[in-house]
Amino acid sequence: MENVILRGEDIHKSFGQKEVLKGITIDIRKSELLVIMGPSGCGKSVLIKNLIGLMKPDRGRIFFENEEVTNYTEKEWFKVRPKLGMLFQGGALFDYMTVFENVAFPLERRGERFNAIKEKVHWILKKLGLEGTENLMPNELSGGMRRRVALARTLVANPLLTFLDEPTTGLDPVTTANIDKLILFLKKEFDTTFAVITHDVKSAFRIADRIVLLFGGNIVFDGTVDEMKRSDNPYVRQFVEGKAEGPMKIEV
Amino acid sequence: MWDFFTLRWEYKEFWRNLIRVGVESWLVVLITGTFAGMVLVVQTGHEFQKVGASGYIGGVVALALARELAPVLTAMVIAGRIGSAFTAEIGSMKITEQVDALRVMAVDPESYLAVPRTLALMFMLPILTFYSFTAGLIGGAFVAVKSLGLELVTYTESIKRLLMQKDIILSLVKGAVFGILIGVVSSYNGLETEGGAMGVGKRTTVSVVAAIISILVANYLLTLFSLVFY
Repeated sequence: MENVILRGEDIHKSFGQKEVLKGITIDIRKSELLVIMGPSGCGKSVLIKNLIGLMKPDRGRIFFENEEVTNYTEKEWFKVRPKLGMLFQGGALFDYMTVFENVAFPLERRGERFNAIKEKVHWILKKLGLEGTENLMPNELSGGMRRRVALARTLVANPLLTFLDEPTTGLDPVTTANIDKLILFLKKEFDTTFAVITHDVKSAFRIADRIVLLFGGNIVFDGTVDEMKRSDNPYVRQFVEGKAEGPMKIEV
Repeated sequence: MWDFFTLRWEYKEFWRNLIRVGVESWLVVLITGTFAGMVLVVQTGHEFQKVGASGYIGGVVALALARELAPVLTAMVIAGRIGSAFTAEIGSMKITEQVDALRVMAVDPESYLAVPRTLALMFMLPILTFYSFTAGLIGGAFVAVKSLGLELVTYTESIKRLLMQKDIILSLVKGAVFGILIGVVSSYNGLETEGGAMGVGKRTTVSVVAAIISILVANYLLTLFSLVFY
């Protein structure tokens, strides 16, 4: 397929005895916003980490822009990664750097000039409502602000494909709505492709072009927001309605 | 690990860590060096005076400090002070996904975190070793003059007579090698950290113990090796 940026084919991954991914095939298409949903611990983060080469799948193949990258070494991945962005669950801000240095970091690594870096950093911080935080350290920021700084660092390098691992989990509904709005705005502004992990159904319905539901190491649903709303797939119904009873059995 | 030194190293991180190693450890190195010199004079002084060998006290202290005590004690103190900090720091970066964030930004964690730290230690440890050696000589002189009633000139002349350039060189070489050891061991353990705060604690302990043991073993081997030149 032409408009597929990243494709994972039959991805398997186990940790010891525990089989986390049982042969997942997933496409990420250009300019779409794909939401990957599923209960906690179903392997969403593991799937993403396999797709961008932070982990190696036990079996299966990965294609980036129609080129197979499955067996790339770390060094080869370094050639692909400038096109990728990733927001980690905890933000993963460098805690010994200021907000400015954090956001400037990916640009600095690309060897951009200081004036250009300064301009871009100020611009993105302003877009994300973070003016005046340049000289603060990450531990001086609130959770929501830290998330936004991490988002700024991810997006400032203008990646082709951006992964967001739970950008709103643990935030209040208002901040969540704001970040969702921001994601939609950024998608329009940068024409980036997004793959967003979340288990917040409301948030997913607001931002998604397409939703994939993961459970037990398999994809149990793949469709648009409307399709999901209308679907009578028992997994979808249980997850969307947030019921304890249903096909998803989660050990508590 | 073979890749370790062929990778480009990072000037900014190198300077940051070089300064940090120096600033954070000068005081503790000063104290250990001074007291090592002082206790050496106390231990050797009376015996040497009994057999009328007062003229050797300074020289013996200088040799013991230069060849063994200054490099080994300094390295041990740095392993505890800086090596542990490096492991804990890199380890917590690992468990909070900061190391993965580096990788996603196409930055190699080894060349960005491990190499500059190791090189900083390799450059700084000889300096600290020499500094500790000097502090030990001064501490020793203080005890020799104040408590043994030795003339300061006797002490310094004795040093000049016995201490050779090659002793100082051995001291500095040991310092550099121990620096590399501490850097490699602490960075490696940091990057291998897994499993939350407990994991960081565990790795930090492992790192310090491993560094100290490898320092002692390397010291023995370097001393044997140095005999070739004596």
